[in-house]
Amino acid sequence: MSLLSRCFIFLSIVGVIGCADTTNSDNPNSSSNTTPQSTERTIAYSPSNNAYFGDLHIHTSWSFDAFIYNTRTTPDDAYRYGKGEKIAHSATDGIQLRRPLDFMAVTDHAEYMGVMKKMIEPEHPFFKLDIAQQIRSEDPQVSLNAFTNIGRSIAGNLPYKEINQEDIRMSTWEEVVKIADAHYEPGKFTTFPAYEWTSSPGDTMEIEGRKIPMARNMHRNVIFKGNKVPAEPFSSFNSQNPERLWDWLDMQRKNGVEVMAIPHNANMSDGMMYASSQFDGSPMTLQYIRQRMRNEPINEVVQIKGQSMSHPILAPNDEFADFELFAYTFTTSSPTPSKPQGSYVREAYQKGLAIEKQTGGNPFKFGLIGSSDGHNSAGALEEDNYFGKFGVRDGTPSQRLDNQQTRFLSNKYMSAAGMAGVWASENTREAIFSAMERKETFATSGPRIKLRIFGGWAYSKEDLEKDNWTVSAYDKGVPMGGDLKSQESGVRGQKSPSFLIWAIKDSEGANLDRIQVIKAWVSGDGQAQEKIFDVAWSGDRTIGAGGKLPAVGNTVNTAEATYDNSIGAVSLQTVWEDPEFDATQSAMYYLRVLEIPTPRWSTYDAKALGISIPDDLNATIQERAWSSPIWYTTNFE
Amino acid sequence: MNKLLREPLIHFLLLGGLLFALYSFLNKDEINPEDYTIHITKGDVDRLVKAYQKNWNSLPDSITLAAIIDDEVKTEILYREALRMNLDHNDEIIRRRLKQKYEFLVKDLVSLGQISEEDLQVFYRKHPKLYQYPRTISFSQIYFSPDKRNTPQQDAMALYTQLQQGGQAVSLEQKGDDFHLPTQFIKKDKDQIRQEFGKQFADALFQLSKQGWGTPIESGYGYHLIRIDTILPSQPIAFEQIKEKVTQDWQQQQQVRYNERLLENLKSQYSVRIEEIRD
Repeated sequence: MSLLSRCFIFLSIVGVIGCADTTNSDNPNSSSNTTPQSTERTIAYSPSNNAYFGDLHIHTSWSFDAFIYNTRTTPDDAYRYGKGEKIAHSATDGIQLRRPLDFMAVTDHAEYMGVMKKMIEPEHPFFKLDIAQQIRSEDPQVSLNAFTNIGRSIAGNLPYKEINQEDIRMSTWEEVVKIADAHYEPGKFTTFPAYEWTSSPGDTMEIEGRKIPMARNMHRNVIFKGNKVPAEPFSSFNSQNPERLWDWLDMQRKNGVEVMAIPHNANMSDGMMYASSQFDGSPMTLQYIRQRMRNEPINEVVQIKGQSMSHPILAPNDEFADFELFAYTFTTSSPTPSKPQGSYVREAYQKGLAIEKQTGGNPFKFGLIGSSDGHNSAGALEEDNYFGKFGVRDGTPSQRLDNQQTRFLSNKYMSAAGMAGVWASENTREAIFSAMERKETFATSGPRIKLRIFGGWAYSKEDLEKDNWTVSAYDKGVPMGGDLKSQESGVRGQKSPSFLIWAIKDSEGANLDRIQVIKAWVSGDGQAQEKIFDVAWSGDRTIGAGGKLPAVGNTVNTAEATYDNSIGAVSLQTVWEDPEFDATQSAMYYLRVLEIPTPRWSTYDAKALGISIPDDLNATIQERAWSSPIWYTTNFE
Repeated sequence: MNKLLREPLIHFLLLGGLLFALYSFLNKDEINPEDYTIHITKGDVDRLVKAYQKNWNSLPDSITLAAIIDDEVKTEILYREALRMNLDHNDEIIRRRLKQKYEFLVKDLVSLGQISEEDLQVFYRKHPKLYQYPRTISFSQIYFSPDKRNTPQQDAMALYTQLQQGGQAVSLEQKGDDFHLPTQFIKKDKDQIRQEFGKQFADALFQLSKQGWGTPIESGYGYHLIRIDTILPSQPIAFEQIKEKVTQDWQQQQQVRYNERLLENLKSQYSVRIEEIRD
């Protein structure tokens, strides 16, 4: 190369540095200019809202735990999967969703985000580290131990300093945001920059005289509305205390960053997620309650590691409470139970009303979503298209149904994933984020069931019969996630509000069994109560003695893993009033919609393997959807 | 202390220091006073204050600011000393960081280049598939629910036959069942219909090519008698409307090409020799 041309290249680069600097400082928004901004309404815009289905909990190889089980796909692959493309999987020849999603967020663990992949790049300094050599070990025991140690360093809040490095954290996060932006198509596919705050306060549990290390799940996914984000995530290495996370989120909001946190797997929190006290055990203050609700309007309640809605011990009279239970804490040795009290939503809803009566604020006034928590850059959302949670650990039917597996996270007890539903005016970041803020959301155990509930004082039977019924439903009342305004003056007394209730099956799935209203309230003596009402059902069943609606039936052929839609209904609806309404008691109402029985994923696996279904597994499940509640609050005069 | 004396890093630093001292002694006359001047400008201070503000969400007080500036001076001194000792050489992190910086530079170089309207027009015409609206169908439907009828398919077919023969206007509301999903759809593409009614229905609907009533279509919900009102073939999006996306795509293509050319160019100035890899 001639000296002259070297000089030229040098000068042109210097020139560019100068230019680049001025453009950046003159226009602070220059980086967001290239991303699509939905200032105009998209074609499907509807003021009475459309249902959109998505997954706000996906891990890729940039998460330490996905990586250890050989997931090598990236956030880019994850969004492609969400859009319907086929992507690679470590144990099979590829995975693909039958139906694309409407929206999605990749939520890799903030702790050690993007670090693991550096450990296998021979030219990277991390390659030579002891921990990297163990991770790469041919001996699965050594690599599993290394993984355990990394997990424990998160639970114990003692990060490996040599791999917890700022430059990796910041550049990985920058990539996360960039990839989310690149896949955002307003009107068609919405993405959110996001990550998981993996707070897992560690402890030991004594089982049969042995002290077993375990960790309680306090995890939250942190979802940003757009690409205006901080330079790096707030991880559990910054603090394991959710109140500190909320402080940080509040600070972000002051800087104009729109963001929320979504807790999940309360079922694995051993009573910590919905405890009656603050993180340090002190009583809840009104300030704490307001901060929690400001930052956590919705909770993820159903996913691959089970559901967090109800537990048979807490709801002994609920015949459908025993559904996809996964009541353990995190451990790598014997399974350690997670205590139900304080770990399930329905109890929290009751407790929230009682706390409100004492303090004036309800810390558990949140809406619901489901998601997958898949660690294959993809969620296994379909029972008959299942590929497990963790790469090579549970990627094939024989791995999943292995009866010898006694270690933590026995794969056969895991669920197929949940789904997030939102009622939003259009498929954009603005509209979907706003639906989540006002809790107009619902959770399903996988199927795309659509369900609606509106509450108000002025509805009549005819209001549900018009084709455009939702227009007046919004005019005369509030949708799921809302607060019933107090009755008009003069209409005092015991008149119940009316609820417009409607559900329709997944257009590619099973028929519906029934719609239930689940009510929680606080009685005069301050006691929390709950009751389940069957309000609409298929066929000509009648409620028998004891108030019980007969079962819908069962068309599942377990040997063949098939079912048919000869029972159940396409759509169910009703206008319902609470027969036990008491205007002096605060209450809340949400829907549970059940499908007819269908084969569980493990039943499809057993068929594929030609084996009988393991005794400890249900052959069928009744998939379901839960709406966010509508609250009625008295003024406690 | 003994342990410290055995530490290879200490040996390295001492030797390095000696070499540096020797080098300085031999090259005394080349010392440039500029190299030993640190000038913290008003602009530098502004930058430091902004960075602090971003991290802590408040302005530094005078003591904090003094400490920040002091730290900046220290950093600059150690940085320059490290450079003089060539500590930036053979360091993997620095090597990768510089590579990344170079790539960013190249990227900016392209995006700062002049974009001519004509280039964009040419690109737009060359890639019509990237800039078109998908085929859409506007239709009305009469829904026959298996919840409410024993023979929804036959009922739908009977109405279809009646429509074919009589041709009289049918009041849609009176003929079908309540559905609570819209009865009229305007300009929907196949993906949107799939999300609403499932694959079976979307596939069948997009097979239809004629306006007017067609034979009943099945979905997971039941049977649908469909009247196609309009079918819009996939249509190009006007250049002016999609110019922003064309610009992005063009820039991206230019960048890819530029990167390739640049790397080719640079490569041609290097001779690369890779020793044979033995299995």
